[in-house]
Amino acid sequence: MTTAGIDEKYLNVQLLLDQFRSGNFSAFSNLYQSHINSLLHYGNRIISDKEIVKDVIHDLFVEMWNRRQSLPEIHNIEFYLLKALRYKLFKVSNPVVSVHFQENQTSADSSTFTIDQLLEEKESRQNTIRIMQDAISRLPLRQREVIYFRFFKGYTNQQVADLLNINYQSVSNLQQRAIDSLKRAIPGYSLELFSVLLFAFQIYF
Amino acid sequence: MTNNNLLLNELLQNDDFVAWVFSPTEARDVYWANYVTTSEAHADAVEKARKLTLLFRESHIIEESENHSDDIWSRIEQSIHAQANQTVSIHRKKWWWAAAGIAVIASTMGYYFLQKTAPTSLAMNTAMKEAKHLIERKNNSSKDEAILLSDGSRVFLAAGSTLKNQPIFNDSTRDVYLDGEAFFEIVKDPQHPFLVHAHNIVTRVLGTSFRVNARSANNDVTVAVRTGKVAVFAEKENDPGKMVLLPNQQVVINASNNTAIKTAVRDTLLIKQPNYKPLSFDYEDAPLITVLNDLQAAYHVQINYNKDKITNCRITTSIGEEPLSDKIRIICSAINATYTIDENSVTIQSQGGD
Repeated sequence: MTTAGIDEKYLNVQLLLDQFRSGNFSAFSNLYQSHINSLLHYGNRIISDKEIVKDVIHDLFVEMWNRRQSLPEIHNIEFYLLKALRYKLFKVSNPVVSVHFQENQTSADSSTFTIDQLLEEKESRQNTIRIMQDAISRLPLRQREVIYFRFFKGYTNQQVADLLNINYQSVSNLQQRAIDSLKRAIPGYSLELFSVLLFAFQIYF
Repeated sequence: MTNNNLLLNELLQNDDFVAWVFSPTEARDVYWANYVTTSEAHADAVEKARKLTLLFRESHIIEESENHSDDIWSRIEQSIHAQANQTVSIHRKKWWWAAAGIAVIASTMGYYFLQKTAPTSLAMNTAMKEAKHLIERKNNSSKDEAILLSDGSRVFLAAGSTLKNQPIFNDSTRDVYLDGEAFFEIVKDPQHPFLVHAHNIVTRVLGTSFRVNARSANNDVTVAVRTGKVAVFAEKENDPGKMVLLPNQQVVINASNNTAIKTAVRDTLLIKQPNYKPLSFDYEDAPLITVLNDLQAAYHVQINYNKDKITNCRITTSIGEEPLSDKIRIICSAINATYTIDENSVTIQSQGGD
């Protein structure tokens, strides 16, 4: 992608924001459609009650519309919305310690897998992912969020610090703890065996 | 061993590394290719860190079964309109007296005219507005504006056009008033027919997609149907009768001089949906029965065929842009069958499957 391409995209978003600020409902609708999936994806991962997430998103957008004229300068609209959503979610409800996804509850205890089983053709990749999903969902909330924003959204350490309202060093610590837990969750973990596992994983990449 | 672990952790915490894994660019490739040559341990760490990073990301992707983003949006729209109406009602009171005066005068004049012609759309619209609590939206931009109605229907309002409707439909019919042009995508609700009022012409549907062009200059109203079935009639006491339009048909109708011209839509662009998601009729080795069912659903038309004869027929074809009659023709020539098209149904006589 050329830098010209990226700039154009940025300008289009700024234009949309300006239209929104001046009361263009269609621009507002556009902003909603572009980011709602992102917001739902994040919200549903930290609050298990989907109705609450929907309510908070509703409130967020209505308030945004009402305060549209005093909207600050925004460079990254998705980041802005996620941060606003997070703030409201934490005010409204105590985010659960961990959110277990239905699909993962039926996954077998990871210690029953042997390396040989994990090297088995198609199964191994899906199993690895399932194990990882489960491990992520068991992380403490903050660690889970750090992993989410760094490795799914691709935000930088500084952005995560800003979003979570903590300092850079805390992000680093949380991240390290999370990564250590996640590595340990993979069965038969040790660097040598781990590389064998990753080798199996690589086949499907 | 621990050295490798340290390297691994360092990489995972590194913004540039993660950025490179997710969005490789030439510059980043060069940098990391160079890093990898530092030592075998470095190369090894990069390899593992990369895979871990991708694994972390992929583990967050979960198939969402149903996402209620449209429900949430309807509620947002409703709340915003409800707020707006509260402020409007304060202003209403002031001109109520003035409007009442005008209404009285208009109605006496109106009676005189009624004997000769239908009431003007302006007077009717004003009456409507008093009776039902309507919100008005004008598209002041140069592009189509998407409006979501309380039943989930969408209206793509053309530039300069105005749409009036109730914030929440709660009558036996869903009514909107159009000044200008718009493309409608209406949610099916047979209990509550959807009516578009424009220039004294009413377009009535249960659930379809179609375009109404009622630009003020002439009093012509053009209704072009894309999918489903649409009934068009004049808004008069003594209804002269309604006209039913099928997909790819259009009518140009004028209530003041009582003319109606029904034609096939030559220009498929006329009723093309304004945005994304065109109906695609692309089939690859699909059961013929599926194709016929899709057509029935899209065009609200009954298709009669001999099930036994074509159960095993499969078909590969792309017939998205054709009018219905051509679609049928194409399918029939593929399966060596003949067909007849009536007002509301299609009958296919098969000579034997493919």
